[in-house]
Amino acid sequence: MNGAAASRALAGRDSWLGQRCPTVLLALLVLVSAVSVLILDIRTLGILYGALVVGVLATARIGVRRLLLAQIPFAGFGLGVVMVNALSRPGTELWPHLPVRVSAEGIAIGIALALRTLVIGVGAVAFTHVTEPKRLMMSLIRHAHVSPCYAYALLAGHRLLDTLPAQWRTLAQARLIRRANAPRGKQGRRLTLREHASCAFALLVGAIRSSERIAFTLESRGLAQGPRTMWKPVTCTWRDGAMAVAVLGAMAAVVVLGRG
Amino acid sequence: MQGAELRARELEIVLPGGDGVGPWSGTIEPGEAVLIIAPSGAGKSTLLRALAGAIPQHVRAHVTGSLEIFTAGGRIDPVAGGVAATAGAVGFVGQDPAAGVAMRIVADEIALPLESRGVAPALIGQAITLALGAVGAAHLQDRDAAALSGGELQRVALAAALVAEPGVLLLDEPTAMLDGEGIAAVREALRVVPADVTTILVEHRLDEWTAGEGVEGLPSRTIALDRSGRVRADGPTDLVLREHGRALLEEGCWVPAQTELALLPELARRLEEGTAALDPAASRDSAPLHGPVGAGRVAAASEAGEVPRTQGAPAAEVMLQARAVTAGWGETPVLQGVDLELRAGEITAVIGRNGAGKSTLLTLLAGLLDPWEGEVSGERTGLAFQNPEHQFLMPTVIEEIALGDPAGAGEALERLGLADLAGRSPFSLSGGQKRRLSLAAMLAHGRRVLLADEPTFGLDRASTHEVLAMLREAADGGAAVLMTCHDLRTIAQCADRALLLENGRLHALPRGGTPEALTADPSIPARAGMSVPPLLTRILGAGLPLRETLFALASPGVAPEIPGPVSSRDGAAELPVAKGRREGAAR
Amino acid sequence: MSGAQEPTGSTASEKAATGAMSAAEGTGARGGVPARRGLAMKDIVLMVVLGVVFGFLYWVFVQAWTALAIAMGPLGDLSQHILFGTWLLVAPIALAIIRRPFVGIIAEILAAVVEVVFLGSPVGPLLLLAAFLQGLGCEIPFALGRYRRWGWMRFAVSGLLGATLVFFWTSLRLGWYGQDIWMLRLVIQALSGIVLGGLLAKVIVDALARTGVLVNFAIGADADPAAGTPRRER
Repeated sequence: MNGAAASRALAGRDSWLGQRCPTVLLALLVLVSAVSVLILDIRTLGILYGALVVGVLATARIGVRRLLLAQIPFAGFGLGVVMVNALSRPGTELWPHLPVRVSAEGIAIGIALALRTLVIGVGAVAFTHVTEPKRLMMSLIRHAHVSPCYAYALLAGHRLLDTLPAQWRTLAQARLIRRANAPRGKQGRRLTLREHASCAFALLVGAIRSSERIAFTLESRGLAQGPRTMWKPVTCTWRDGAMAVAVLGAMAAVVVLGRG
Repeated sequence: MQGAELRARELEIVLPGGDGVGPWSGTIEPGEAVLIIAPSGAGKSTLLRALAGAIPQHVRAHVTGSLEIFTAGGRIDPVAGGVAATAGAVGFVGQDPAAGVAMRIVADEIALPLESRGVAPALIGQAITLALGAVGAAHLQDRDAAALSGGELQRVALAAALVAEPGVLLLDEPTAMLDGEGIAAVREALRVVPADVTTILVEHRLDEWTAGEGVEGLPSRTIALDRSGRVRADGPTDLVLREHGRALLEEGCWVPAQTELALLPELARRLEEGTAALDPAASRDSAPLHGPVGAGRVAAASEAGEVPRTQGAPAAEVMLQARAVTAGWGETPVLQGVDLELRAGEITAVIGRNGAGKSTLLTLLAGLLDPWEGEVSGERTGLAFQNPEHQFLMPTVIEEIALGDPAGAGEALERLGLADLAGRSPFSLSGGQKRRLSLAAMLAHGRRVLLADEPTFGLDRASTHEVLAMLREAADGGAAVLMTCHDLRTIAQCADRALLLENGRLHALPRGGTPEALTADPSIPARAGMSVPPLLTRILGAGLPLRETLFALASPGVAPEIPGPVSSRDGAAELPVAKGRREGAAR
Repeated sequence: MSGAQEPTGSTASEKAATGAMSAAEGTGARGGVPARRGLAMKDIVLMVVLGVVFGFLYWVFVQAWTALAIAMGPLGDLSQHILFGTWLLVAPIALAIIRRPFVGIIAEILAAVVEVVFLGSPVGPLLLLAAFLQGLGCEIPFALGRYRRWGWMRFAVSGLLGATLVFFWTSLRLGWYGQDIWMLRLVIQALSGIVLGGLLAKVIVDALARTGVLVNFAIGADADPAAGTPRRER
């Protein structure tokens, strides 16, 4: 992670939302995502999306620009969803003279589905922006009774993940050096599919070797199912309750508004 | 916690492949320090892992006999109880620095054993600071493990092991993957281990470990294993080394230099007398000859008050050339103003500290990185990576070589002693076999420039000599060889000259950068974080030629002849190197 | 590693009489160690690491994915089904290595956590439900074989079920129901599951086994019961 990205991430973790209990945050995110799956109405989803964007901007210390940038892939995907649905759903044909069938129902459903993607996406972006993995895992151990073995294994996996890009670079170089023809320039150093597969396999072999050593290290630190203390416990306060009430209230209001 | 007592009765461990260690019966008293010395593949790590409770729970194996650890808190059976049972009483520091620290933030790693033991949260912060401070790593507390060097990671791992106040500390080659400075830092950190902690050390580079203190710097008791993992000797270290030193050497172990010398009384006598020529300069005549390489080097040599030697053989053909190269990754240049010429038949060593830019230099010379300024020209290069596994891309050993040389693959495997393993996966070989295979696979491409990144890293003595012999053979066959290395003994045995990479600049060294020059002036290797092994100083002081003497030491059983003070270079090349040793076929 | 593991080697079991006979005694007969019901730490870490590596590889290969989507023009939406099978790989691979119940489901969920928490997947926590269904589908054929049968057919069915079971949920989430191409989506995804999920997993597992890195896992124990360690991980 470069310096700028690191400082952005820190800003998110220091934000109001970042100070909340990650377990509560995760539960609310699941709820919002799940509710959005049950709705197929442009108006309700539109209001929900708007409310979420405002809420995230107010509490997550994420700039408008960054939020928009993070949404671009979803917007692209959403556009595809609109097109596919417009073309693939039977219904009233809007432009009968076109060689393909474009239905009004298809467009309506397509827009709703695209909005659903955006709703889920903005939640996911905000969650990753404010949540530190270590804090989330500690919170899950404490509040969601997740096994510390699994939580710490995931954290160790996070550390391993950090080392993979450098390993990948070395593996790629090792493939290039053994080619019959010297790789020249950026284009010449692009890996073939076969070389990609070979790199992937070598990466997997190395990672499995590492996994055995990591498991031993964790266990030799006394990690087990039994009782344990927590150096920096993640607490759940009245603010988390307030947040939950506010989000639930807002959801209810949105659904009612959408119906009306 | 007080030191723990270890008791084994007919303990025998057999791995699925059939490799085994033991049977071992014995007691290790509380507070005792024990060294385990054995050739690669004899199962010394397996034995240590068994003591830590990892066998058979983590490493599948068949265990017979009994093993017990007695602590103040009671009796532990590591075989039945597993790592969970030993975690409170046994600390472990292994070879691989990256896997020894599992958390991203250093403080979290130290907190983990404390939290597992149920230490009150209010006390943990202070305990972390103390534990890290004790190993000289207080400044690392909030750092990301990804940004730490190997030596720093090992110190963090040591702190995490010690913070749980273990009764036994197991050290499984903790410095095998470190450079000179890392070794020194870890050695320094180990001074804080309380005297009543029982310590068991597996280590193969014993001279580096003791930093020249010799046998006195080692644990007082040694258990030596033979190649098949049976206990060869168990007793006072000096006695074990005296009586079994030759057998250990012949099986490919590193032993302290004084043990090696004791096995060559003729050489030892000559070193004692120092008769031939006390002036180190005299022995330099025996150093390989080579022409001036680049203007920078001539200037450096002249500064040192010496005329570059150009007599004798005509300057060999230049195979690869870099001129005023600046290069790097992203925005920042890693290398600046690099001038270099590699010539046929010559082995060049590049020394430098961690982060000096050695890997970038190799990448550049290998044509995988374009220079920002200046140019690199010459023959296509081969590059052997530090971790041989990074290089394997075929499903079988023979295909790995056939990729570069379809016709000669079978013969190459015969010479490597890997013919029996032709159909195996390259990943399934032993460490030394993998290194030789990766080198041979690279050589099979027939490139006339070979670059090797730390080719002897972490190898036992026998494999080291085999790898060095391969590099020398390639050079004698007309290739230009460049290797990075942080071990002066390896350089002295193999390289013709050394260059120093410091802060991204490549410096020619005084007096041609010959191993003799590096040995005579310890301030030069010190700039690369390296120290001069006392053995080299002694050889040079006695007026003996470094390379030939080291070759003689490399194979005491095969070449009892001690070279004269002066000998020709050809003579050196013909000296037998670990002749006839066949790793894979025997097992 | 709970339950009974009886030594079957003759000479080995005689020797074992003098001392500890491997982890078989997890029931605490000697050390007072309670039997462990859950998975071993090394199995848990292996599952996480599979999730991490494949998560990283998806990220590396995402360029190929995007290229394919663009090449297919307006049908780009369909391209996701062609490569869908690769998302399944973790479950059959983990199952074939660890050979314990629920490993397929757990491995998929851990991989989803890696995707959501470490790699910031845009699907968010709903991915966890998808992962559960994928893992469940992949696990069914191996569970029916009581985790003892690891042939090509079972891998193919594993990929097929892994791809189809989750398809109904994804259809709801992404509103595929009611589209003309629903059936086409299902067929492509199922085929992809069979080839890139199931059969490819078998290829990878076999190749990994040949390298020797799996020797300490259940698959290694099953492969050479005669090699002096007559244990079965169960």
